Amino acid sequence: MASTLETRQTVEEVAGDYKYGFVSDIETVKAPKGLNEGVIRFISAKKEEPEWLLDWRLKAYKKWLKMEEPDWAMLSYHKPDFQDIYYYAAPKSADDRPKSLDEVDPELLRVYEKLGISLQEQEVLSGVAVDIVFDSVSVATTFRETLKEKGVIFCSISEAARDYPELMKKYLGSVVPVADNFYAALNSAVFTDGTFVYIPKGVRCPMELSTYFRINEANTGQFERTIIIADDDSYVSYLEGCTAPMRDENQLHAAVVEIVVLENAEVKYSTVQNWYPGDKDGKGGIYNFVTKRAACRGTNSKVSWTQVETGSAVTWKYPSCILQGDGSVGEFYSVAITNNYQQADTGTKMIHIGKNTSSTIISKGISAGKAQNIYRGLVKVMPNAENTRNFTQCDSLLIGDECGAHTVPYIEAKNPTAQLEHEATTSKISDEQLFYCLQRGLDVEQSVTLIVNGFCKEVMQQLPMEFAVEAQKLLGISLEGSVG
Amino acid sequence: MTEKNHFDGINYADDFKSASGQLPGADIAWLKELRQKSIDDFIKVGIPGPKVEEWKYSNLNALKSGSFKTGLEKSSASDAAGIADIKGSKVVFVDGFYNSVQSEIKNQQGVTLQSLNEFVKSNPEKAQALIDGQAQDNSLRNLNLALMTGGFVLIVDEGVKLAEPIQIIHVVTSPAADKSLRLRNLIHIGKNASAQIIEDYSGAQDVNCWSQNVTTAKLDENATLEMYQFQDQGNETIHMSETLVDVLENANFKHYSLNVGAAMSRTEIKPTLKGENGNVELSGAFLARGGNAHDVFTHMKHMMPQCDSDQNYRGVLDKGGKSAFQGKVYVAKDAQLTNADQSNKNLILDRNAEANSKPELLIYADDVKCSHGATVGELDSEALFYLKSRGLDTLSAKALLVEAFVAEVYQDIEIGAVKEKYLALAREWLAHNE
Repeated sequence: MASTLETRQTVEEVAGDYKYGFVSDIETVKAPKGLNEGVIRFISAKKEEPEWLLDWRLKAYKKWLKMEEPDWAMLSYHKPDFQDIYYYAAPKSADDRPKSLDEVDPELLRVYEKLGISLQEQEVLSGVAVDIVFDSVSVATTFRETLKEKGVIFCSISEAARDYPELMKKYLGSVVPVADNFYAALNSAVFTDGTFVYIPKGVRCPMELSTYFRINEANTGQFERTIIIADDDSYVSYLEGCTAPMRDENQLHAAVVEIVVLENAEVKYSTVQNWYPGDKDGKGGIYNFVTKRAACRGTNSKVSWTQVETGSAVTWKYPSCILQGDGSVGEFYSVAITNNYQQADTGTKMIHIGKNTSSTIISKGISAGKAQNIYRGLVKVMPNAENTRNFTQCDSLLIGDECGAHTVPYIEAKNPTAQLEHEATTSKISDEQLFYCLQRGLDVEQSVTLIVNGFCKEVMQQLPMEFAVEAQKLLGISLEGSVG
Repeated sequence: MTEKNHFDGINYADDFKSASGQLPGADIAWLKELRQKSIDDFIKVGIPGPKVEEWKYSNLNALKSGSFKTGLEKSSASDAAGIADIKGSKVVFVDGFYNSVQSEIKNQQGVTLQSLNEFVKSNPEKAQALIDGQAQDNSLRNLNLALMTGGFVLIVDEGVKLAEPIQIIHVVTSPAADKSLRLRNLIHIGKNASAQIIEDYSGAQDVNCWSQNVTTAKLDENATLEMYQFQDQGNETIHMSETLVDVLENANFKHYSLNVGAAMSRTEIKPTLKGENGNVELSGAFLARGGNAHDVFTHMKHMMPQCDSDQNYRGVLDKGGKSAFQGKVYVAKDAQLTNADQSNKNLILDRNAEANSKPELLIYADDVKCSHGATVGELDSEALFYLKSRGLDTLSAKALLVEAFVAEVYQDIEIGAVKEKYLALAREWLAHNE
């Protein structure tokens, strides 16, 4: 079966040589290595935070000290040494924030250009407001004026703590409590920056909001905190994209995303995650331990998670929906590609609490090389959740005989009116599919691209335009030039 | 000493100390040694608590303190007749002891069917080889070996077809209150041989006891074993049954089960496909209400290429009932061309009922076809309406639909009397519906 070998070679290139692997050397201001109360106070002071936020951080830190690192996921990795990590690193220019793009460090702008996200171009062409997070501190924000007119708040979390303390006090930790889990507690103690979004009542956000996360400094864990609040009858689509330069040491990323959706509001959250996955021998790469959760608190509120996960050495991530409001809707669309020694344990939780709530889960896992790809998901129906509806589909594609694809779904129903369906399949690219494509005149490489894209189609078509292009590139780039 | 998230095993040390001198085979050195090792191994780990992943849906709090003491009293049962239409041998256990009076062993050339305690005496070397070689990686299984009071041995020689199905009848009577009853069964089906076993668990109501059985079976090349389990234990009984099966080349293993009784039941079936072209089919139903909790746990291990496995489990949960289906399919790296299917469907009939399902796939080979499906829902309202429009009242219409839902699991059973018994038990359960 020569075609099998070729297929494997083709898809081994899916992640390919890391396209975004370069290191920029901008001076940074660092907190000392390690974690203690002093470091937390340092971060808080550096951020000029109010007293209550510092107390909140310290409370989280105390709880974190008593918690144990979870080991239930099917992941094997060297546990990070939490005393060997820098918890704060800011570009030097942070103390003196630029007023416009012209004032931004030219070195920074070059980095963005290498990444293909030139700010100027984006301002003019794409209509996307970008809040760029560069090593934990927002350095440039665009389109704020347009958003301000509509009353939309789109700023860094530090600014929100300063300018909108009431909103922050109300919502920070309201979806993901400080002691929710080990990494969420860590994040609560040391989060350095992130994005705060508030969409007022009745407002449809005029543009897609986007934050590019970027890990740059060696040994700097990124601890982002994102809060999105969609007030009654509002709508927002939020994009999160990630790339990081090549590093030998494992970098820890423990982000928390909290979304609150009120009556008749809708939030669409899309992610393309392409952090450094480690080299071919599994050396290096990002540890991506993320807690993402949305609470649908109003009647008919809706949240939709779409994620394309191609990077990171280890991924531990379960974007979840708490469907409290009657008639609320949760969706989860995911493509996870693992290659070489990558490991991904990812999925979702749908907690049905309100009446007439529904959820959809579509998960596509592609595993190549020596990678392990795990779907882990929970669908839970509480006793009062009348007429709950869930549909779950998890498909796995295996490429090569040294990788693994696993499905671990949990279904827990406590209401007789629930209709829950779960389906999962595991297969490889069949020789028949390949033969059919070849016979129609495509070469092997095109065929595999076609088949893999077809396999992921249901998820890819959920992505907003800007991301669809990037994501298809991610699948496609590496598929080219690998055969023959 | 105890492992993380486990209840302390040391609470069982006293029971072992006081019972070990009176356990069968106490005078046999190797067995004594093996029991000692097993209890030591058990104490190191303990009883799994609710945070142990495999036990997350079953509450073993009742076993925490070690209050169930090993039952050492032999009794007889008023009813241990089994299925009348089945003419094969009958092996009867009452309160965890083999009852030679009520049992009926019919001799067949090439078939060894004996109580374990007799077998240990008559064939010490073979018994030692069979028991010693078993996996000891499970704390509850170790506890079983340390304190077991007997069991049965079935050996079918090469090429022999068992003439009639064997009935293994377990009865719990009232003297077993507050006792633990542990049996260990050994099955070996030789090359080209075949056997059918009917396992029937029943017991008196309101007898608070812990019944724990471990069966290990080996199927040689081209062998066939069919097992039919009925579990209708008393309402206070904690029932556990673990079946481990090695399936070699071209061998076939079929397992049917029905859980209707017991306060808590745990049915574990763990086939390992160790030869090419093996075939395993597991089917069953669990019906729970009024504080019943059923937990079916399967672990299908595909170690060799070209094997097929199929699992089909259905649950019906009425008022106060709780169930869990945890099915795991493991496909090893070398097990190419595996076909593995798994299906779990649950019907919830009442607001105060709970169904949990965790159909897991762990796949390390690429050329495989594996799928699983799980559903939870209520009765189809259209079907209900259709029946009502034909003149049936709501209760009968519901009962009919539930019966059809359960009956589908057992439709392919070839032994008429067995199939009929499954349906009768299910019907009886349904009839109790107020």
